[in-house]
Amino acid sequence: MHNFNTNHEDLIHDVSYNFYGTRLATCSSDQTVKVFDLDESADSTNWILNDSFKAHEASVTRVVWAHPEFGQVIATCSFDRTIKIFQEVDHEPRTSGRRWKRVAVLPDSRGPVHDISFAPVHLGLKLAANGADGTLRIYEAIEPHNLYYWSLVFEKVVVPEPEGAREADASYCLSWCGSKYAPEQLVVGSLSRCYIFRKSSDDKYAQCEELPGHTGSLREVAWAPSMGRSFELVATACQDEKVRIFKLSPKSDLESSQALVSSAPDRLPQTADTVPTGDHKYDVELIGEFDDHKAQVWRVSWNVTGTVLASAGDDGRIRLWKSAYSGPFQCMSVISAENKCSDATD
Amino acid sequence: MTANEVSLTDAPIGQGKLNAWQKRGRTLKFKWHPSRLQGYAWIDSSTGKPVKFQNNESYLYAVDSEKFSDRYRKFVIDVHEIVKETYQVDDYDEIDDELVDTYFDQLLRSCNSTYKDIQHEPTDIDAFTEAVVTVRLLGAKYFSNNFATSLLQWVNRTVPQPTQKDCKEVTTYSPPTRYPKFWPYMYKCVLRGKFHLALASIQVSDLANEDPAAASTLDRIIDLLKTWSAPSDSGMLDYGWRVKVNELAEDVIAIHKDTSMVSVQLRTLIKVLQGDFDTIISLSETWFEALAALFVFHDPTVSRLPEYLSKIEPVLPVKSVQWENAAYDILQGKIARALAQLGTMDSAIAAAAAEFCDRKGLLDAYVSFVPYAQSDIRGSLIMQHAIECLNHPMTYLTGISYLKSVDLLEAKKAASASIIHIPLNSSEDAATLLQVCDDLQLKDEAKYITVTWTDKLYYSDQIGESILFAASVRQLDRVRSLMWRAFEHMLVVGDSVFNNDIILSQIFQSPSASPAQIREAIVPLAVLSKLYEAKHANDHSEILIALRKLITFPYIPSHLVLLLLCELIPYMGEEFADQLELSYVTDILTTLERVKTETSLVDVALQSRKCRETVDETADVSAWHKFVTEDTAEGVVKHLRTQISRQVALCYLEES
Repeated sequence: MHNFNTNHEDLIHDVSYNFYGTRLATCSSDQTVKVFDLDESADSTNWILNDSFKAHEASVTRVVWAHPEFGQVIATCSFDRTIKIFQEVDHEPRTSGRRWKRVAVLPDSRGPVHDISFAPVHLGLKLAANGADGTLRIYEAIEPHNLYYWSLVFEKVVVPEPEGAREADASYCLSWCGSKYAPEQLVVGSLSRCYIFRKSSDDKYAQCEELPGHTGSLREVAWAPSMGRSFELVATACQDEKVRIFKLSPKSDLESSQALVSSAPDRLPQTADTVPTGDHKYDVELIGEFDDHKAQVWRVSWNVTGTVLASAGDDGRIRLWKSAYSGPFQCMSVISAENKCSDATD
Repeated sequence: MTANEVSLTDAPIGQGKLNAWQKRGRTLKFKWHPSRLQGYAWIDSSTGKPVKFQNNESYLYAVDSEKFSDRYRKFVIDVHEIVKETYQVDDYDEIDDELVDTYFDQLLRSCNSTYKDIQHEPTDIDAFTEAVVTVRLLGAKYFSNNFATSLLQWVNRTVPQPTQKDCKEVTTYSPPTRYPKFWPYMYKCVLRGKFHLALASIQVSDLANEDPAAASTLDRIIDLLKTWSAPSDSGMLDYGWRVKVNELAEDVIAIHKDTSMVSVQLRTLIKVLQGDFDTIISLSETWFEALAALFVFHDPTVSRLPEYLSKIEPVLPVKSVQWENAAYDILQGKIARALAQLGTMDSAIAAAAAEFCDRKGLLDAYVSFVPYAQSDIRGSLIMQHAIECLNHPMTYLTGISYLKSVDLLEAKKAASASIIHIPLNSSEDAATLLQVCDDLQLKDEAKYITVTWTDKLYYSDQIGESILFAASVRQLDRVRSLMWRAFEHMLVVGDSVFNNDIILSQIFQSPSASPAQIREAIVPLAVLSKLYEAKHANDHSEILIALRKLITFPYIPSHLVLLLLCELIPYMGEEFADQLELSYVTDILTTLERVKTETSLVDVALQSRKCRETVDETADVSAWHKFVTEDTAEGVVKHLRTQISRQVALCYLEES
C-alpha cells in the first residue's frame, strides 16, 4: 500500500472504498468524481483509474458506494444542492468519461448536501441525506434494480436552518447502524445536535435518543460495526475539538417508556414523529471524550470489527483509539502528516 | 497504553510547518479500508476559504496500522490448528486430560518457536513475551506431570539466573570460594533447583581446606543435593531426604558453634533445604523465586500457595507488571481472572488457553463473565480473538472458524457481520464460506457471497463458470440474474463477446450435459445465441422465429424488450410479409405496449447508441439503426409503430 496521486485539480473532500476495498472513489472541489480499481494482479497495490467524470455543478462533498448486490452504483452529493446516482456501464471503455452513467438526480434539498449514506444491504436500497437545510431525507429505490426511480420516504427538519451562521461552521452528517440484528436506525448530526432516528414498529422513522454534550458543529458521526456486541457504539467528531464515543445499551420496555417522558427534547417541535412508538430504546452513555487533537476533529472512522476508531483533524494527525473488546478506549497510536525528519514538502 | 507517534510516508506537512499549514485552512481526513487496518488520509479544507491548491493536496496518503507480522499471523493459524484438533474429539466431555495436556504442550512449543522468530519484528513483543510467561505458568500448574519441576523450570525461564556469566566466573575464580559472589551464587542455584551447578561449584572449591571442620558437613550436603528428587504432585516430599536434611541441620548446630564464614554459609544453605520461610524469602530476589523454593523445600502442597504468597508479598513486590498479576491469579487458582488478563496480552494464546482449560474442566466453576453478558470466559476470549483475526486476510478464515466454535448468538452475529467482507480468491474460498453460512444458517450472507464470487467471475469473462458456480450452490435466482446480464451484454455488444468462454459454449452446445436448473435458466441466452447464428447464416426465417420466442418470453426484463424489437425492424416490409403473419404482428404490438409502460427510454436510447457503434456495418440486415431516422428511444418506438401499421396492412393484403 502506498501513496498515490488522484490528479484531482482541487481539494479532495471524500474518499470511499467499495464494499470489498477493491475500488476507490474520490470527489473534489473540482466537481469531478474519480473511480479507481485495485490492480489485483500479482499482489499489486496499484490503483488504476477506471474513469473520471464531472458529477456536479459545484464542489462534490461526498461519494458513497452502494452494496454490490445492487450492482456497481455510487451516489454523490454536492454544494449544488443535489444528490446524484451513477451506475457503471460495463461496455463503455475505461477512462472514456462515459463509464459511469448518471441514472438519477435527487434535487429535494434547499441547501448544499453535506452527507449521504447508503443503508446496510439488508434494509434494501436506501439512501439517507443530510444537508444545510437542516433536513434529514431518506430515499428508497423501490425496485433495487431500477435505479431511475427513487421515492422520498422520509423527510424531517432535524434543526432549523441557522441564521447568519458562517458556512464553514455549519456541518451535517449521518451514519447508519449496520447490524441486521438491530432495528433500522441511523445517527444524525446537525450543527451541534446529534440524534438517533429509528424506524418504529409502525414502520415510521422517529427521532429518538439524543447524544448530548457537543458544543460545536458535528463534523462526522460513525456508527460502529457491532460484531455481536450486546450494545452499540457511536463515535462523533466535533468542532469543539473532541472525539466522543457513546455506548448505546438496549433498555427494557418499562424503563424506556419512563425515560421517554423525561428525556423528550424540549427544543424540538413535538410532532407526531418526534416521539418514538417503537419498542427499542437505548440508554446513552458517554464512555469516551478525548481532546487529544487540541484542534477541530473532522473525521471519525471505525475499522471493520468496530474495535479501532480513527479520528483526524486540524492538528494534522490521525489518532487510533482501541479498546479490548469491552474495555475503555485508549489512544494506541498517532500518525502524523507532519514530516519529522526533513523540512521538505510544505 | 502509551501512544507512539509515527509520520506518514512522504508526509505532506514540512517539519515545523504545522502552524502555517493550519493557517492555510487545511485539515487532515482519513478513511479505513472496509476490512483491513489500512486506509488513506488526505488533505481537505477546514475553513471553506479559497486558498491556492497545491499539488501534494491531490494525493492520498497510505496508512498501514497492521502491527502484526506475517510470522505472527502464521503463529495465530498454527495455534488454531492445535485448538481445532480438540474439536475433532466427538464427545466434548469425554476428552482425555492427557490428550489436552499434549495439545497444551504443542501450544507452548509454538509459543516458544514464535518467540524466538519475532524478536526483531515490529510485533508488540512485550505483550507477547508477557503472554508466553503467563501461559507457561498456566501450563506448569494445570497441564504438566509435575508441578514442582515445572514451577522451577518456569522460574528459570522467566528470569534466567544464575547467568552463564556468573557460572563461568565462579568456576574459573581461584579459589572459587574467594569469589565475592560465591555464596549468593550457591544460594541462587539451590533456590532454583539447579543442584548440578551447585555441586559443580562445590567440587571445584576448596571449602574443605578452608574449614576442615566443615568437610563432613559438606559431604552430607553434596549427598543431599545429589539425592534430591522433585516432590510428587500429591504434595509429598521424599520423606527420607527430609529426615536427612533435618538431621544435618541439628548436627551442624551441635558441631559448628563457630562463626567462621564457611560454617555460617553452610548453615544458611541447610536452612534453605529445610524450607525455612525467612531464609528463603530473604535470599530471594523475586517473589516467584521465593515461591518456588518454598513450594519445593517447605511443603509442596498446592493449596498452600496462597499462604506462601501472602508471606512473600510484604517483602517482595508481587504484582508490579501485568504478567505478574496474571501469574499471581494462576497461583491463587483464579483461572478466569488470569485468562482475562492473558486476553489483554495476546488474544491468540488466551483463546487457546481458555479452550484447553475448558476442556480440562477448569472453568466449570465460572458461569458468566463480563464482556458478553450471556457468555463464559472461554466464549468471550475466543470471540475477542476471532474478531482480531477478522482484521487481516491471512487470518479471516481462522477468525470465522473460531466464531463457529462458540455456541453463542453473539458469535453468529459477528460471523454474519464479517463473513461478507472476506475477499474471495477462488471457488474453493467461496465454497468454504458458503459451508460456514450453511452451518450457521446465514442465508442472506450466503446470497451475498455467491453474488460477490459470481460477479468476480463474470467480470473476468468467465460467465459460464459463474453460472455453474451459482447453480452448484443452488442459488437459482443468481443463475437467472447472471443469465440476463449476459443476455443484455450479448444483445448490446454482439455474440462475439463470449467467444472465449469455453464453458458457456459447452453449455450451449450440449445443454443436456448441464444440470436441469441451468438448462432451464439458460433458455433465453441460448435462443439469443441461435438468433446470432441465424443472422450470420442470413436465415431470415430462423431469425424471426428466434426473435418471436424472445419477445414473448414471459420473464424478459422490460428494458431489454425494445432492443429486441429493434432487431425486428430490418425484417418488416413486403419482403417478409409471408413470415410476419398477423399473429406475429399482434405479439409485437402487445410487446410494444409493455415497452411503453415499463421501460426507461433514456436507458434504451443509450444502449441503442452503443448498438450503432458495435453492430457490424457490413451486415445490412442487422443494422436496424439504419432504418431509424430519429436518434432517441422515442424515435425508435415511433418508427416501430409506423412499421407495425404498415405490416398489419401488408398482412391483410397477404390474407386477401
